[in-house]
Amino acid sequence: MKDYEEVVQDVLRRSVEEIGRNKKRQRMLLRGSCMIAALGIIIAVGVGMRFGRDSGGKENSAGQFATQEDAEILGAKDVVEGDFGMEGGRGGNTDIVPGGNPSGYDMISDERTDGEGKMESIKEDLHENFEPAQVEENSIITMPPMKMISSYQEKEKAVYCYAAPKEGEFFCSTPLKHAMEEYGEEVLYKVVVQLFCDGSVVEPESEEAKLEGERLAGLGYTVVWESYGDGEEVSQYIMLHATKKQLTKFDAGNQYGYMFRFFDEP
Amino acid sequence: MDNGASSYRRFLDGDEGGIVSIIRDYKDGLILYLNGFVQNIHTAEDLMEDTFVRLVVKKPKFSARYSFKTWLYTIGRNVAIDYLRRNVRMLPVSHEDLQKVECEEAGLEASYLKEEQKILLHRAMRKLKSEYRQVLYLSFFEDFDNAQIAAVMKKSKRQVENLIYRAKMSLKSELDKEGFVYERL
Repeated sequence: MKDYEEVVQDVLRRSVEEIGRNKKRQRMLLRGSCMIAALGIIIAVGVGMRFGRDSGGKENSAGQFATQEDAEILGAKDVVEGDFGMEGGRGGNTDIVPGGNPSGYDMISDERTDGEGKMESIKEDLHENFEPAQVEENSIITMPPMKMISSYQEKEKAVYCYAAPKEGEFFCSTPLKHAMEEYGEEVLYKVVVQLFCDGSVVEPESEEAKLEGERLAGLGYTVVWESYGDGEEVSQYIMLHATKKQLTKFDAGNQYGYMFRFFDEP
Repeated sequence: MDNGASSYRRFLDGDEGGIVSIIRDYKDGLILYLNGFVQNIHTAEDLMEDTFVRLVVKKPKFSARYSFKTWLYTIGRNVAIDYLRRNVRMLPVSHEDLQKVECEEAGLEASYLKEEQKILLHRAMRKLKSEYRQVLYLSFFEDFDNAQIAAVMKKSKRQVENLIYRAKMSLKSELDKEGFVYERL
């Protein structure tokens, strides 16, 4: 039988392995679903484009277009050539001049006039049909924005007290920790960064705080300076938009201690 | 909040010492309880570790509806049931291994149950069916009340009362065969 220290070591080692495996599995799953989603979008775009072409072809076969030019725009040249063969050889044929129009040419020219009107509507259709497809193509490249968590409602109301962090140390408030447990890596956390030096808060408006904010921005953190107040008394805050990993593996500088918390924490 | 709950809270707040305390306080009892399912102290030890790994990895929420121990034993029970589902057929154990297992179980009984009478009672319970062993173990050795046993075993209080009655009857008949005195039961 193992003694309790061996059991503790085994449990912790196995837990670390298990967590690593879970993360790998999640990454694989995320990658797989991203690929499926991308594939789905590509198929949807393809089907949309195909459908656009098909509907254009149907209109041609119904002989709705007045001119060959219109038909060429929609890539339905063959169908239209048959319909408008009269221009090449049968122009003026009374068959196409209902009501005994003597020349038939006017009739054709009228048709052309109607066709120009249709041309406009077809162009509009094309615009409507193809515009969203381009938008969807772009959406493959642009990732949707991550959900932002800026506060957390504790189940039991509590006011927490914390010791000021020493230089080079950082910690997250208890509500923030609870939020990170609940939401994990999939969201961004909008948190106030409080800087401490010698156990005292460094004023966010100070030059030192600004320099530190710039340092963090340089490290790739999204640093936002926000002001809150009632108009008379306005306070400035350094805010981070960070992932759980960025907060838990925070790159703390040696000059300051850092506390991360939600803005509305008591 | 009992100590287990506060240790677990500490662990959730990032203090690894919390889980160390929990393992130290509950591991032996949990092994004996899980042994009631699998009848092999080594497997029970593995399942005990699995239970704590589940606690560390999944960090399930503990509601103070029952004591921490009740909650922990419920997780242990789920782990044991998962194990039994996966391993329906029993693996053959050699005679030497069997002796070793019995020897280690006796050591754990001595260190955890301490009193001779309890140890003898625990051994007599080996002959009972799994459900009886579990219910009697929780009742006699862990001092769980019927409500707590019902929570761990996912049964109603009424079902637990009946189960305890039948388990005691079964144990009584086993003790009769062995010539034990059982007036305390």
